[in-house]
Formats: sequence, C-alpha cells, structure tokens
Amino acid sequence: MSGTQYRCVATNSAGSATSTAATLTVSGLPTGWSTADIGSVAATGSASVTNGVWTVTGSGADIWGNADGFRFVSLPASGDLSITARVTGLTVTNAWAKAGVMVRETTAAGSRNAFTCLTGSNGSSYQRRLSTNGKSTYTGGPAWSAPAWVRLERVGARFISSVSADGTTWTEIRRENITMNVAVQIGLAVTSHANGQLCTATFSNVTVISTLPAAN
Amino acid sequence: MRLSLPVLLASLLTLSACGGGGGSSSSSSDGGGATPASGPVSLGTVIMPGVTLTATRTSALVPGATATFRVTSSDPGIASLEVLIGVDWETAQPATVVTTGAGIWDATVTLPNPLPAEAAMLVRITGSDGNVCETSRTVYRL
Repeated sequence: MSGTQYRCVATNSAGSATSTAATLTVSGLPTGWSTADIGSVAATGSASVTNGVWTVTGSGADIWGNADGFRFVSLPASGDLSITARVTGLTVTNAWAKAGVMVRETTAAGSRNAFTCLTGSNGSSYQRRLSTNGKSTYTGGPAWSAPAWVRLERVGARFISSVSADGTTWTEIRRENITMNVAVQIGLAVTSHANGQLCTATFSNVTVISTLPAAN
Repeated sequence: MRLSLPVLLASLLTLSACGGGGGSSSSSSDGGGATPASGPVSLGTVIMPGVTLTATRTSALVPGATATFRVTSSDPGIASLEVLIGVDWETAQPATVVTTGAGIWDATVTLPNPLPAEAAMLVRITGSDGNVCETSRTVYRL
C-alpha cells in the first residue's frame, strides 16, 4: 500500500538480515485512467496520483469559446454518472485559471462538455458547450477559491453542477439538459489560462460513480 | 471599447456570487408588502477600467404586480440580454426587455405572488463573440 513502510528480510543458512525501512510510494494513474493535453497547448501537462492526491498540471489558453486548451485526466464512462473532487490547491497563473471536474463527449478541442470548476480568483463556476465546436456558456457560482469541493452529475440528459465548502453542504449552481452521447470521458481538467505556463492543481477525494460500464 | 466575454464574465462575477447563495432575506416574502424602488445596485466588480454593469429596480416591488428594472453597461458590446424573474432558470418568468440606448436595457415583468425570498433576477447575456454568461441576484437585494 502506498505510504506504508517496508523492510526486506533476507534469509540463508547463515541466518537472516533485515534492511532499513523504506517507504513505498506509488504514483501514476489508477487503472483505466489516462491523461492528455486537449486542444492547442504550448506546454505539456501531466497528471499523477500519490497517496490519494491527484496532481494535474495544465497549460492552454482557456476552456471556453468554441475550442478548449487544457490538461485532462479522464476515465471512459457511460450513462448516469457523477464525479466529485476536492480542489485542494490551484496555482493562480491567471485569475481565470480553472481546475475542476468535467464530463466531455470526446477529446476534441471543440467537444461538447460540462465543467464545474474553481478559478484562480474569480470564484466557482459551471460552464458548458452545448454543441460541437459551438460557443460556451458560463454560470457563476459562489465566490470561493481552493480549497473547495466541486461536483458534476448526469442523470439521463440532466446535468447538475454543485460546489461545496465542506463536502457536506452543497450549493447547486445550475441544472439543465444537455444532449451528449451516452459514452463520455469523465475526469479532472486544468487550464492555466496562460498558454505556455503550467498551472498546477491538486485534488483529493476524487470519486467517480457510473451506473453503466464504459462503452469500448 | 468592446466588451469581450472574459471581461463580461468578470464584471458579473460578484452578482452571481450574491445571487447564487440564495437564502433568506430581511425583506418580506409573504406577498403582503411593497418595497419602494431601489437605487442603483452595482452588479459586479470591474476588471477592465470603464466596464461596469448596474441594475436598478425602477418600480416598487409588489408581489403580483408589474415590476421594472434597468440594467446598464458602460460598454455597449453585448449582443443580447435576457432578464428572467424566478427561483431557477427553468421555471423563471421571462421579462420583456427593450433596449433604450447604448448599453441600457429596461425589463418589465409581472412578479410572482407570493414572491419567494429566494426569487432572483436572472440575467443571461450574449457577448459580441457569441459566448453566453448567466448570472443572478436576489430580487429583494435590488
């Protein structure tokens, strides 16, 4: 288990010897997850998980307009679903740097998507692109910065965007129907809003619930 | 100066934060009283100098009666503006909005009766670039 201390014991006919303790640290991504830069980015991002802390770095001009530029770490999912995470940190590369949870139809820059996020210094928000390569829509939420919780749920065509200061009491920003394929990508998204610079966001308590197996 | 959506969004952020919280108001929600017209209320912070959005309730607030609001922007670069009154975006009642000048809109709507404490003025604007911004403010705070 990651974070646990281990000692090695070697035994032969002469006896045994025990090593000094070493801490096992497991990083990378859980099985099924993958990460990639989406759209036009001028600095390569990254994503890893260490002891339950997700660290995502992302560049890109924004998640906005008719084409996005950001880092996405995601999991294929299908049907009704939800993703919840606590954004524990966000480098303020720009007041509109963004880190949050996203449901995205494809990994194309102009894909339909829904996104609940925290910004660098402009509070929380819910954004979406309702049509492929179409413009984006923004709805402002509470004026919170990290750390705070973000959540996105889909039930049928219904998307619900919520944020929470403590992970217990949730404030709904917006709910609406969005036409999107049953099979989607769900995960964490980070954009620096300063293409060429990397924004580092950290997440904990990342929870994904999907009622149907991911379509292959 | 044309108002781009990022500026627009920034200019409305405080409004959305105020409206998003909902909750109770010191004003009555039982539909029994009338609240006189308000003075101008800034809808948000300003990032780019010279860009402000302001809402003013220009009539008394009487549940069941017609109310009027004026929304102004110091920058006329907004392609369209919608105003709704209600507790959420899907059931809110649209106001009739007319442009009365560059960056000036007058909204007229019949208020619900009773008028819940969490009833908000919901504003949806489309920028000159085609992106859309939604924000809100509790009616009793206007």
